[in-house]
Amino acid sequence: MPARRGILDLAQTILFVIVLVLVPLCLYVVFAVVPTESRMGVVQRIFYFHVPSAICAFLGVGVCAGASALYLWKRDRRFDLLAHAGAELAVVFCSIVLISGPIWARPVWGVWWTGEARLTSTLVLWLIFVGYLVLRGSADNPDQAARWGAVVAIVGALDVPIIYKSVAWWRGLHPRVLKATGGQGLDPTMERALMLCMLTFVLLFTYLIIQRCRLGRLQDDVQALVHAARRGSLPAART
Amino acid sequence: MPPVDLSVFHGPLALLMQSGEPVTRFTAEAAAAQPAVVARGFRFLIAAYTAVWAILAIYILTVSVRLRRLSNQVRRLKEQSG
Amino acid sequence: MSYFRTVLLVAAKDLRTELRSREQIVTLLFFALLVLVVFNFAFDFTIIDFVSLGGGILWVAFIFSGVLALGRSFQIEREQDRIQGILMAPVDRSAFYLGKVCATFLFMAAVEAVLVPVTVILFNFPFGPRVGAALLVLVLNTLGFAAVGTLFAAITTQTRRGELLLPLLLFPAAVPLALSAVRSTSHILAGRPFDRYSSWIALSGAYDLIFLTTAILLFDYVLDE
Repeated sequence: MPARRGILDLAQTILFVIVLVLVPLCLYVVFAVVPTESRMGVVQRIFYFHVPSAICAFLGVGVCAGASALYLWKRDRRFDLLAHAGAELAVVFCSIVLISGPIWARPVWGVWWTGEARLTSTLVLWLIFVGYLVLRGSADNPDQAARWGAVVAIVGALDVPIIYKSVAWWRGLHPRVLKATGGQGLDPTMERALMLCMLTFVLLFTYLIIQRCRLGRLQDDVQALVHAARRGSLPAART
Repeated sequence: MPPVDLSVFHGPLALLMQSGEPVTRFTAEAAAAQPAVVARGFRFLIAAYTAVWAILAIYILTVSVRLRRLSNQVRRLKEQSG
Repeated sequence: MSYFRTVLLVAAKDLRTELRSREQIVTLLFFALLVLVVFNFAFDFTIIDFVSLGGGILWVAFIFSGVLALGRSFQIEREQDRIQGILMAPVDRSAFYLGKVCATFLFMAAVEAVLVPVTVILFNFPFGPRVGAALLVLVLNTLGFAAVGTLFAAITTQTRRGELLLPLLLFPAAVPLALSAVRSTSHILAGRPFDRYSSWIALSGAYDLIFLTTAILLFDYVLDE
């Protein structure tokens, strides 16, 4: 499928260039342009990368779960590659959230870990998808890995909102209907900076997921070639 | 325990940001009055950013290296079997 | 063979095997009791407020023995090489799943039925008049744990690192149940009114519904074809 490969390559190159431009821009904006937040001081600037990372982690979970469901339905190998990539990215971005969170908390609240609801829930999410990756690694063959991973991913993804809700209740936040609270708006500069960082991270996520899928694809190719070489024949060259 | 006033954020961001409990009486407000603390804040900020980009960089590099290695392997295998 | 008959047969088979040898239930009971005893020594209950810790202690004991029960539940199938037979049976595999869930639920229930009175005695617990609510909490949370646990155990017992993988996968997934169970039990022990923990019970109920349904739909993909 040269045409599709070509488009994907082009998309990746474009994404890469855009991200390469956006990242320094973000750093500049976050460090030089945005005003210092009055209550938490400079440390609050971590927020501009902490929040988009969380969004990307959820994106990874969503992609993993959706691709898993599609894989179980269609049994198309590409969906499984996407699921695996999504899970890996979810773990990477969750790790970023879990590390930047405490570093933010320490100077602001004096402790590394406050048992705060969202961070605790994110830790549980991280554990679920680390488990996913370990499970895939423990499978004897790719088919098992794909099927089992899909089951765990779907259960895990369905569990995520329940986990966040239950941990929030546990910490004493009253059960509430989802609604925005009032109060003064976010400073518009801060809001725009956040949007910029959000865009950057989402584009980075997209680039990375394509990259990771290509890696998975190549791993499959190598397996197929090695297998064929052992059997002494070669599959028709993939165009 | 003085509550941290998070009305600075609004809308869905407020929901996202609302945690609502500093667990100690160490508040940034009181601390920020002293320049030594501001410097400390900077150190943590730099630490956080370094960590974030280190993790991303390591992941990106790992994937790229494996990608290149596998591409070479595929090429070699194809050449071998002619 | 009808669906529900299959479910009952699978559960009954497990129970009959157990009644004959009594091996598993005794192991589970002793393990859970051991956990309780360790906690009894670990904390000085003349100082610590036991009512607030009791929920956590009980459910730690239940959850740990539950993981043991789950592991054994599928190990027996492997040992007796019955998996092939199950796969070839002309019945929906989810019936097999539900049968296993029932069996695990009953094993855990048996452990709980022994442990709760023992705890009342050992720790001078006031279980109070809220027996109905306590039963509801026990049933709903044990059911949810058995539901997700059976699904995961069916997978992990097919791997080499299964004993490590089951807790790794199950504990994070069962966090809402654990929180609900511990919080509800604590409220019951403290004698607080039902509406303090009714939302937790609703959460457990919703969890059970969602994950039983999901597992029934997904179980087909778990066993090798």
